[in-house]
Parts: sequence; C-alpha cells; structure tokens
Amino acid sequence: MECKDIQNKLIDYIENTLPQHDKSSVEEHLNSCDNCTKELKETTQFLALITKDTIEQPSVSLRDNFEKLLENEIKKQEPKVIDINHKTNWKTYIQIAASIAIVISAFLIGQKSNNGSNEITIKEQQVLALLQNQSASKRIMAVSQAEEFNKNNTQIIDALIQKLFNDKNVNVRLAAAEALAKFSSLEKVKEALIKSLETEKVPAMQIELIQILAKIQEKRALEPMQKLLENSETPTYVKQELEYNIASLF
Amino acid sequence: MKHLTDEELMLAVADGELKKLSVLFDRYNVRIYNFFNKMLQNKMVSEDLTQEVFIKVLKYRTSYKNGNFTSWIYTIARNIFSSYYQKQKKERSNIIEDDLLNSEEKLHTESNTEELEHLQKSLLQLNSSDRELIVMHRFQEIKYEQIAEIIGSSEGAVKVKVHRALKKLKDIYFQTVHN
Repeated sequence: MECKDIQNKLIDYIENTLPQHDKSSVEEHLNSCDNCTKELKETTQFLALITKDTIEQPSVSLRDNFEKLLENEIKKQEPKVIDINHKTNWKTYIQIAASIAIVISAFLIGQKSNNGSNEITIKEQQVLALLQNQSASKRIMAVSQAEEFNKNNTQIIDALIQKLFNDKNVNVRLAAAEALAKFSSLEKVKEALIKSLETEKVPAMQIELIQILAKIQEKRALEPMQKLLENSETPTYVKQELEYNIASLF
Repeated sequence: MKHLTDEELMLAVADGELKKLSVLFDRYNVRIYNFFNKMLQNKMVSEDLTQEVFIKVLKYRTSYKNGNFTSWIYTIARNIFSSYYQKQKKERSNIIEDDLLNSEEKLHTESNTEELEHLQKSLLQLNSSDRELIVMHRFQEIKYEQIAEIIGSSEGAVKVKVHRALKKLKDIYFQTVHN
C-alpha cells in the first residue's frame, strides 16, 4: 500500500475500527515509513485534543426567552373570547338572541309600515347583520355606520357594546369603543366602557378606553385605572397614559 | 414525561400538547447552541439562532411526521445556519478588516487552554461544510448514519468526508501551531 492509502486509514487505526487484515498492513508500513509515523503521531495527538473540548452553557436568557415564547404560543391556542365572567356569558347569548328577534320583528313590522320608516329599519338591519360578518373589515365598516344612528336606537347600541366586549379582532373593538364614545351620555354605555377597561388586555384598547373615559370625565373609571397602573404587566406607555389621565379626573 | 422518547414528545407537541416542547428544549438547547457556537464562534448569535430553531419547531410542529427527532431538529438548525451564513457573506463585503479581527478576539473563553483556542481558530478556517461535519461527528458525537440522514447522503460517503475534513483540520492546526 502507498502512503496515501495508509494515511486514509489512520483514524480508523487509532480508533481501532480496522479489520485485522488492514491493521496488520498499516503496522507493517508504519515500521518502515517515518513520514507516516509522524502523521500517526500528529493525528493521535489531534484527536485527543478534540476530545478535550468542553461543552459550553448558553446564558439563562435563552431559556427565559424560550419559556415566554412557549407561553405565548399556548395562549394563542386557547380561544380568544374575552371572558367577563360566566354569568354574563348567558347575557351575551340572550343579547344575540334578542337582537336577532328584534331584527326579524323589525323586518316584519317594516314590511307592514309605510315606505319612510321602512328605509330606516332596512338600514338598521343591514348594519346589524354586517356587524356579525366574518370579515373584520366589514365589521369595522358596520361599526362606523352604526355611529350615524341616534342614541335612542337601543339595538344598535347594544350591538356595539357586544362588539366592544366580544369581538375577537382588536381593531373592531377599537372602532366599537370610538363609536360608543359618541353615545357616552347613556348610562349603560358608560358602564360598558368602564367594564371593558377592567377586562381588556390589549394595550392599544386600554389607551383608547383611558382617553375616552377621561374625556367624558367618568370618575368611576378611577378605580380600574388605578388597578391598571399598579399591575406590573401593564406596559410603560400605558402607564404614562394612565398617569396623565388619572390626574385629569381628580 | 421523562421516560418518553424525543419522537413521542414531538408527536404530542404536533398534536397540540405544546407544554411537552419544554422537555425537548431541556434535552436539546445546549447541543444546538454548541453546534452554532462551534460553527460561528459567537455566543450571542448562537443563542439567537438556537432560539430561532425552537421558534421554527413550534411553528412547523404539524409538519413533523414521526421521523428521527435528532435528524429533524438538526435539519432545521442547518437551514437556519445556512441562511444566516449566506446573509453574512453578502454583508461581509462591507465589513472592514478591523471588525473581523475584533470578532476573532471574541473566541477567547475563560476555560479554554491555548491548544483548544488554536483548535477553534483552525476550525474557522475550514469551509463550512467540512466544519459542520467535524462539529456534528466529533464535537456533538452524532453517528455517521444520522449525519447521512441530516445532510442527505450515505453513511459511507459521510465517513469518508469526515475523515478527510479531520485531516484538513489537523494539517491547518499543525501548520499554524507555532505562529
């Protein structure tokens, strides 16, 4: 065998994985070849060095970040309905059922009545239906159309409140909050906005609600605002908004 | 949970039991981190890339189909390494020499002896495909058969390549040892 063939077998020779026959021929060659003997020495030394290499530990932040990541993913897995509490869930179903009943009855009444009032109910009906649309942008459109109704229109206002709490899309909830701000003279709208501030988890929504409640000078909002300010999970920019607006409510 | 195999755990994760991924994280994060750190000699980047591996595992969990988990996660790690490497290569033309020297200085770790340090530097001089073979086989002790699965080659070919790469590395090491 030539030196090159021998050298290709050296690692296996050192690690003792050569068949007996090859092993003998390598040994035979080594006895008579200084060059290959030097190569053997170097390779042995080198392989030993590699085994001395130690495993390094990553910093703790790797694990921390991973755990946060996993937690977020687990949260995403859960359904995104904002649970106010179980009792009011019933209320929501009843609200939905009621609004459907109202839509149907409004439709029936509208059919019987004259053309003038007919137009209004059809518009109302369209908006209420659009509010339940699959597409978030359609729902936002419906919310902005809902602003045009007057505050005596209970179905529309109830539907907006329902959107404020239960819509899974934050942009729709934001639009609902903005629309409701226009009806803030109503007691139930005020209550809904306060309740929403207590339960809402998205910072953009929190800021919107804080601004609306401060603008209408709703003193009852002070308590949930204070709680939010004390909560360590509240982001700094929300806290800044809180500090600014809480002062205006004193 | 400790008695479950990697494959059983990953199938459960794919099935929605996300919590089980933390057991796989425990088993693999140090290995994957060391893989990157050997390839790049940069702790910060290695941590980021390790993080990215687990993000991908999570994101593509449903694409896991009962194969060998080690091969699967290393395939992901290699892909991440290669896109990082390509990106670096493009950017490298803009980096001035000084920066390169600085990044080499970061190699020094507290526990390394001079010899090991020299080994790391030699390793960086290999091309990345030779380097990765040595890292996987010698430093991470992954079997030829499994490396073949990871890089899409045969066991015999991998063995030959690893031996050649080792010889290259050894030559680099001894040629430069007295510098």
